[in-house]
Amino acid sequence: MSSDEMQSVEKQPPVTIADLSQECMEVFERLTIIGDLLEISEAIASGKELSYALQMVAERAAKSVDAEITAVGLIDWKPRELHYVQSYGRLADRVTGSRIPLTESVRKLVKKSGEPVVINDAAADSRIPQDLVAEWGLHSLLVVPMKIRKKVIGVLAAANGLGKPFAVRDLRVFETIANHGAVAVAHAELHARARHALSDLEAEKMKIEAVLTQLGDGVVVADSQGRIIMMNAAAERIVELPSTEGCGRGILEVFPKTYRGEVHSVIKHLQQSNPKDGLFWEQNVALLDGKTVRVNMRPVFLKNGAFVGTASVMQDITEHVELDEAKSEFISTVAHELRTPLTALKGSLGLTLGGAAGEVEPRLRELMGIAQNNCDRLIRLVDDMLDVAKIESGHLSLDLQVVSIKDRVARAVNQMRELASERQVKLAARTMGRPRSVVCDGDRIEQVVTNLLANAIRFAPAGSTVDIVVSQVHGYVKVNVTDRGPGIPTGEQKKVFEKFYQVSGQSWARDGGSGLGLAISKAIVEQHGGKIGLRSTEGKGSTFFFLLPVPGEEALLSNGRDD
Amino acid sequence: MKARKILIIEDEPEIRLILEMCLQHSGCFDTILACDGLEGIEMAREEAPDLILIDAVMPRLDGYATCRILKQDTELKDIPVIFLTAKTDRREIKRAIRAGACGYLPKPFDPLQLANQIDRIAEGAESP
Repeated sequence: MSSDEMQSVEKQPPVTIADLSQECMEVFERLTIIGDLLEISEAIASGKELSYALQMVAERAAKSVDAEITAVGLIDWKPRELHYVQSYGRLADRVTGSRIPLTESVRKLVKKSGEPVVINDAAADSRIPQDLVAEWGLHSLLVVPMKIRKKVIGVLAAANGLGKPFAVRDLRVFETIANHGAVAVAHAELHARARHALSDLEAEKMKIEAVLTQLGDGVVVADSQGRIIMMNAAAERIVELPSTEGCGRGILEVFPKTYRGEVHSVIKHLQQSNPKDGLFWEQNVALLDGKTVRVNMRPVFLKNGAFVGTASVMQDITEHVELDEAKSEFISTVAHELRTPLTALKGSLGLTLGGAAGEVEPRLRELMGIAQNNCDRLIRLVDDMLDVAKIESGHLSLDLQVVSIKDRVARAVNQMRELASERQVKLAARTMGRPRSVVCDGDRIEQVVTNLLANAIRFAPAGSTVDIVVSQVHGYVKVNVTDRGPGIPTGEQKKVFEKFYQVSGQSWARDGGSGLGLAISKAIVEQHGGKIGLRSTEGKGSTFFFLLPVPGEEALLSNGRDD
Repeated sequence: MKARKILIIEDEPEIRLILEMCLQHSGCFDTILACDGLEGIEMAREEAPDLILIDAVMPRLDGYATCRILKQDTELKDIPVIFLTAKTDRREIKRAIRAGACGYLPKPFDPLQLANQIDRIAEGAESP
């Protein structure tokens, strides 16, 4: 011990027994208070009813300031009232549940600075509702605001009758208890909100489950490890695996072995993809039991972009596929059944007219010529109707290749030269700019050009020229076929692409057309992602045109070049 | 130029007759006829034709199966086989090519052009 400290000890006044016992008392009292506060804290934390904690608050508060009455009042903003939810002591029965209007004066009392207010002559204080002062026999009042995050939510009030004023120095413990009360309220509110949120979530979950169960399509959800975490009733039916057994298994087990390698790498890709990519996998999967299922698998991301798994929708398209095959088979059979007699007819007529059965006298030749022309027309009609059937049933499949439109147009023009010269119509084909190659079905596009040419030749006056222009227009290759025929009235221009539409006063039937050529052409061009249209002025002629999109260089390279 | 021997395998008697007349009329071909695939294979063995024209759709043994059998026979596999088909979808055409055909002709055909078309396909097959 240093000499300085020695000195300071010497200067202290002597400690008496009374002092010590006083100090002991104070420590004891503080311990009691701490015990009370702890009990309140435990009541709050135990998750019991709010009233239980607040009852304890009122009780311990009364003890701390030796009050006859204590009450916890919470502000109710809807009717603007102070609602005494708990009280203790004399009059507790009457105080608990009572409400006093939150008048301006009361509000001032409660809120003003958030500081405690001590009133030792209530009858003389205008801030106190005087009816209560009289009814409850109040004389001294102690009011401490209860605050949550600086916001006053209510009060802890204590009251005494005459002769028991409150001392300002008593307030520290009282205030602490008030704070505990506020915490209890906050805690209860939080609890209520959490309970609400939970029951909302549960209701939402039930709704989603109900929807998923009702869905005809199978839904299988897997986590980021590829383990199944959910499958609905339809999925159970499709993969013939009860979800109780399915959940926890790898998603790959849903697929037949031959698909697993692909699905595995698909999942890897989806996992590494970005939510913005919108990447998904869609594939018809043939299951072992003969079912065909269309699977659409998408990655599931959280808002922060984290990959949490995959969701797959499985649609049983077995019937659809079977129906599709039946339709396709039907069209094919009809084609065969119609073409076989036409083959015999065309063959017989052609051979007879070609002299295979001897000389044909002129009158007979004329009649047989009519038969031959109409036989050809019937053949075209059958071809076109089969095309329409294919288009309408979605069976028009395109054999996509890199194709020079210029070459295809030249072939179509050559094919139509004979018809043109019969009609004394000239065909003039040229290119403008440098038309690029296009990824398309060359035969089908040639069919479109042939149709447009046949139409143009049909309506072109003898001695006129039909112009064919192939050009490059922005991202498209454009083909124009222009005749100098009668033109098409504005009102009918859209309708010419309808099946069997006849422009008034002009008959395709007379000229051997099927009435289906433009409808087929439109379907072919549109299936290529292109556009078809016409410009026409009555009395001057028509220009039919179509545009096909030119792919980027990559697409051309990956398809190889054949031009 | 010496007329080549062509085997026509076709189940419809009327079409068979027309094919026969077309090809004889052209003066380029001598024709031998079979009414289905089985008879056609037998005849091919006996007659060793230069060319075979075969209908795709026939009872008993259809064109595709017949063609496959012909192509598996060491003595017959080099004879060019041309399909005649009323089903002109790509699927059917691919089937014919897979079965070993060197080309196909659609039905109905132009009777006066048929010989020329057959020639063109056969030439293409001989000089790949």
